[in-house]
Amino acid sequence: MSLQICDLHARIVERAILRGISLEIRPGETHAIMGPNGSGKSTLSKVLAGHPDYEVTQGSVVLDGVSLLEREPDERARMGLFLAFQYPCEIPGVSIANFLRAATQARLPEGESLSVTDFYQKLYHEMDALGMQRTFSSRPLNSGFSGGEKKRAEILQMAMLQPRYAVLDETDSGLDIDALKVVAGGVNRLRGPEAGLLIITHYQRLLDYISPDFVHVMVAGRIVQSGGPELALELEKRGYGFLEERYGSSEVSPLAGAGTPG
Amino acid sequence: MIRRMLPEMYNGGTKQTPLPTWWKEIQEAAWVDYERLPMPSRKDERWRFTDLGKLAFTGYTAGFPVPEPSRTELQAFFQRGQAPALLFANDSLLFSRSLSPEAKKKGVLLTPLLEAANGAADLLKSYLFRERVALGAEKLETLHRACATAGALLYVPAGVELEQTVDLSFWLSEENAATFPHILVVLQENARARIHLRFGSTNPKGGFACSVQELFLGAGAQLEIFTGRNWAEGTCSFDLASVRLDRDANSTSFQLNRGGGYTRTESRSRLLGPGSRSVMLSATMARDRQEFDQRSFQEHSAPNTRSDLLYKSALYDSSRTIFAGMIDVDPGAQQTDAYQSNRNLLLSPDAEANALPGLEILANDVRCTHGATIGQVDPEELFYCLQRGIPLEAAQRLFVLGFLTDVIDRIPDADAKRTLAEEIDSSLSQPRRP
Repeated sequence: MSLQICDLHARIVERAILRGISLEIRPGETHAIMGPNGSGKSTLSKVLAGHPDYEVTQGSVVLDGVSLLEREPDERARMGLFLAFQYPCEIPGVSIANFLRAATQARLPEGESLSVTDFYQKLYHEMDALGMQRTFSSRPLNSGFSGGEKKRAEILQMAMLQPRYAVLDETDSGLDIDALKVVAGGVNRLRGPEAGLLIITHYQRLLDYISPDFVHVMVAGRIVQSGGPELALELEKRGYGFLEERYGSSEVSPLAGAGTPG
Repeated sequence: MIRRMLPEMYNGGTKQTPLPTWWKEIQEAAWVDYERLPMPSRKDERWRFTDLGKLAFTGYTAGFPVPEPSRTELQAFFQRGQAPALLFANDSLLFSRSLSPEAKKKGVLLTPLLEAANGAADLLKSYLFRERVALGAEKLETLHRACATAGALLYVPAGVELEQTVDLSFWLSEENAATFPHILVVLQENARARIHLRFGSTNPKGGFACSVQELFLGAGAQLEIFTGRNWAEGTCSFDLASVRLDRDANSTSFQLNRGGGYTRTESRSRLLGPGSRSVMLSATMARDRQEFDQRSFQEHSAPNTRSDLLYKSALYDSSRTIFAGMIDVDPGAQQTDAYQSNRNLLLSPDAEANALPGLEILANDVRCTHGATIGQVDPEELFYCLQRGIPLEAAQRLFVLGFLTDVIDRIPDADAKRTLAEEIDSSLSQPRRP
């Protein structure tokens, strides 16, 4: 049981962005991917989720023994993959509650219909735990939300859908320290032996609140270094500059063309 | 072209009252006009974009007997309601539920037109067939005048507020049946009423309908009228509505359109008294090869009048919609505030929306805005929904619901709003006819 990414290459139009990513996330583990802007971190999350703009040119992704890449984005999600978006879309006129009802209904076996009472009980329970006003659930999803509200709405969705593997794409960006704590609290509630997490971040500060088991550094479409939580602290101190100098271009990288063991 | 069955041939229906002479004369004159008027033509601007091949006037029979299974089905539908109501099928009155004793005591009248011709002849005579919608379908309007006998008169005397919603429904039960419903509403000064009008079929396919709504609002009167259309596949239908508003009168109309083959609506708001206001709303869900052809006219004839039109359509499959609207402001209609907006959401590459918003302003101190949009689902929004595990079809349903939310939100009455939202939701959950 794991989310296994093996030698993944992907491009958008003609530009190669992922150049051989290998990483395995087991349930119960929390991985962090750090890296400078443009290193391909967000691309990795979108390729995993099946965004149509990206083309996988090489490699494989296997979720609990089932190959992911030839499946539609909604199938991948129902298999247990969740992506907390860096820039969540506004869905005009669709309330959070109705949106989540549709998502929950989609996970039920064919012909079974959702118990509305149970659904709202769970929704309010999760909202209470995230310190959200219940009236928030009737607001149109992400419409006119502040940055913090959008990120909280992502965490609420994650809590409701209980994914096997969650990828959080720069969930900390644009958050003040209070919002960051709430979001981190929500993420920590999901952690447990059943869930594997991949946290993508530019800064170390989110990792003060969600301590990862593994930290990976991504530069120019590759994982160039992996380690424990201490790696994040080192990066915070030294910056990404030295790594970019060393691995910044695919031509000079010693790892070019080869996957890096996760 | 349209045959009429004789009332004697009715199979268990109510016996028809003979028409009074004045009505017969109107019918005869209408036939003459009908023969004289040209068929809709592509050369006529008012039929621009219409797929004239979908118009079918021949082979229908008015006054077709209603067969037993349809009668039973309609009875079951009727019995679910509680409001004062009249239910017609193939132009014969099948069921009715009367007004509350309080409403009757206050002088409110809800009656089939044929009964009104006897019991309230003067009232009927002074209002029936007075209005002309005339947004292109004049030939159909005269055909209606020549054929219409089914329909309702709702009369609310001055100062009376009718609390109960009035349910009027008109049905077709045969592929080759025709119906000519007429809705006549007279609200005297400061009277108030709410009407739920429904058009539908018990047969799976075909039929012809040509209805006219004449709505007269006295000074300060208030009307809310909801029209739900859900004709069987392939039905050719016309619904021509005119609302006349005196000083400070207030009208809100809402149409929910689905089903049918070719559906043309013509809606004229006549703001004749200062301070009057008309809100015109429409939500359309077009599927398969359905065509919805909507024409509107906001006629500002007096100062300080307001009109506000919002028509939204969601188009699936190879469906088509046409919106052609006109805001017309007379030289004397200063301080007019008019708004006209048509928005279309295309859910299929084969769907086609046509929008022709229009303004003609002859006054100089007015505020008029109009606009039209035709858009598709944003691919990022779709990806977001898919990533939550929502399949494509369910995601489209959410987008359509979200898209139509702002029209529904404009309905003032909370119960009506909830009913409509549920109706839209359930019709989207069961994309094929229930």
